[in-house]
Amino acid sequence: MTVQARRHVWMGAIPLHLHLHSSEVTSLPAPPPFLILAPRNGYLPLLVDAIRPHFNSALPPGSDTIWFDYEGLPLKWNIPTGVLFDLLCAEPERPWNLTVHFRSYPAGVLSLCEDEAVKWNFINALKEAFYVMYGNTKSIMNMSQSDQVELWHCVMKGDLEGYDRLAARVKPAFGFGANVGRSEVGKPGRIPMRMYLRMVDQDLNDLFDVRPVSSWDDVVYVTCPIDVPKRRGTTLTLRDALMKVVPHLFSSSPTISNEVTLEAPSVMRASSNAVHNEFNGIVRVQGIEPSLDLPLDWVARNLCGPEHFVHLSVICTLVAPSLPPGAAD
Amino acid sequence: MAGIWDGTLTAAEFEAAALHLVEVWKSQCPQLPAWTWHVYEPPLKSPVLASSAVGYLVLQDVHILSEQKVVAEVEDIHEVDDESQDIATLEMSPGLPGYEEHVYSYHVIYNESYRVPMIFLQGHFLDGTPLQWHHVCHDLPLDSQQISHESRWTFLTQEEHPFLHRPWFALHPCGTSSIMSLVFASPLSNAAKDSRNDNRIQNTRNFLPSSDQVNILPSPNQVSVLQPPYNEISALSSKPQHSSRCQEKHRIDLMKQYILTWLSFACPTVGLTIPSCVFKATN
Repeated sequence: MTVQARRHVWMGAIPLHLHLHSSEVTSLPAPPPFLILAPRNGYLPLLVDAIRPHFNSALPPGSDTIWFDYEGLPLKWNIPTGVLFDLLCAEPERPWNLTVHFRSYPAGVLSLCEDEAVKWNFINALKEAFYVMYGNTKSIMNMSQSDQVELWHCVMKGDLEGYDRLAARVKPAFGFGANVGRSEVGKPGRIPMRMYLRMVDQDLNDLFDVRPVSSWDDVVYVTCPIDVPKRRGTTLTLRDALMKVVPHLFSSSPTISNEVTLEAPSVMRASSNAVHNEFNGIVRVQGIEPSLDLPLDWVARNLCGPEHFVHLSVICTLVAPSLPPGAAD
Repeated sequence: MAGIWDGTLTAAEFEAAALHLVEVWKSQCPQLPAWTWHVYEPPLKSPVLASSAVGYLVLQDVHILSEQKVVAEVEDIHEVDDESQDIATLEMSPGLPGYEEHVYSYHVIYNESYRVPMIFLQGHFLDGTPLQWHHVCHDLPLDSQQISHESRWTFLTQEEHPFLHRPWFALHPCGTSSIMSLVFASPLSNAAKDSRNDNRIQNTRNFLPSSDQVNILPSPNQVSVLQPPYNEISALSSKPQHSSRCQEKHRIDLMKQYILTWLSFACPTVGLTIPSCVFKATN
């Protein structure tokens, strides 16, 4: 069952509907839009060889560096495609309408994407995830150059079997065989996580007309490794991780499913098993809105990105949730 | 705490060490451009995420004379005498043939994954045009230039600035904790009495990591100048005569020195000088 989940994740793809930015159209008629499937666990610039031929004849003279924007926001290529989609498309759009550019690279907003930048961004992120999980990067550093290159090719092609085969050879293993949360030295490891938080000014149940993100300054994104508790017998859940990083998005009002008397707020706080603090937001991982009670290490092993980070896209609202009358504050 | 200290620090310790640095710098070398502590202002309407680091260190407007001929004299520009670092002498650059003036800012930011500080840098020409990788690389001390070229993607990298969300250059942090656990030893805290300290600062400028590992580890002959793998943080747990509260205070005081100690390595790597008077101020 878990193998299926992981395979599903790796096969996930976003259909893109690309049109060339009008300033770069020098042919008549303008080239038609281009449709392509972008792997969720991939990076947008990797699609350049498939996309460029379609628009080549329309481009003005000059050298090309591909970049994309969604509703005017340049897309940060170092974030996996699926994460960008989950975060920026409040109401999932299929296909995802993007503008493709080959000129005027916005170097103030996007890191340069030349040469092997994308591959090394992946490898450095993988090293970082390893450090978070195991307290050192020895196993990645000890991977031969050819294995690293092959691993990267598996990511580019979306080859899960190849990836897991290579990952299993590394000690300690990552990928499907990862022992997330237990470091070599016996110190408790941590779960590699990145969270992207976006605020909208609309009710979360109706995101159809929400204003798109116009600047990366309006998104809070952090790397937030989650400590795995030393005590055995406590299972860390996704909810626990969220409580650590975005506690302000939890309200202590009782959920609909619990009949809790309002005269005893101290009881509410003490027995977190009995009462679920309500989460005022939408969490997306790999395009799904998971139950917050999922064990975090299962999420880490099955829903992580190619570099072993769990990327959580969180959309929350400025609109205050309506509380039942007389609720404790 | 039992066990060997791994060279890392918490976000709270980072903040304490940063504030300590700011204080020491202000009192010991007020004539130099100052390191300041910037509190992170989260985007409008959004509270800061509960996870740690709330701020970072900033050193702004450092003018560097960039040698435009590829000659060995580049390093001389950075070997400024500690006592008389004079900003005025740099201002003669507009007339100086073969040199360009570049203006840099340096940010020291806590890295949540590696749990160590990380140095971010960005530069521009006098007209405001940003410097690119090869310009920044060219302005580094020769040792660092060599490493940058050998490890093109793993030493001086372009990263998302964690707070400003723009691409900045950064020194990759993965070797930092190993050095800190090796080096953070008691002589540094007795810097006032210890003249070996100046030698240590000089020696750190000369280390070269092996080319396929970007761990910035001192070479064997430099390790002998430093203490052997012993550090006072780990040793605190084996001092039965101290009460644990006393040990805790001692540990807190020691950790305040972390960034100063780390800067003694990080600064030479990017070509920033760090005057030895900031170490003499520590007790």
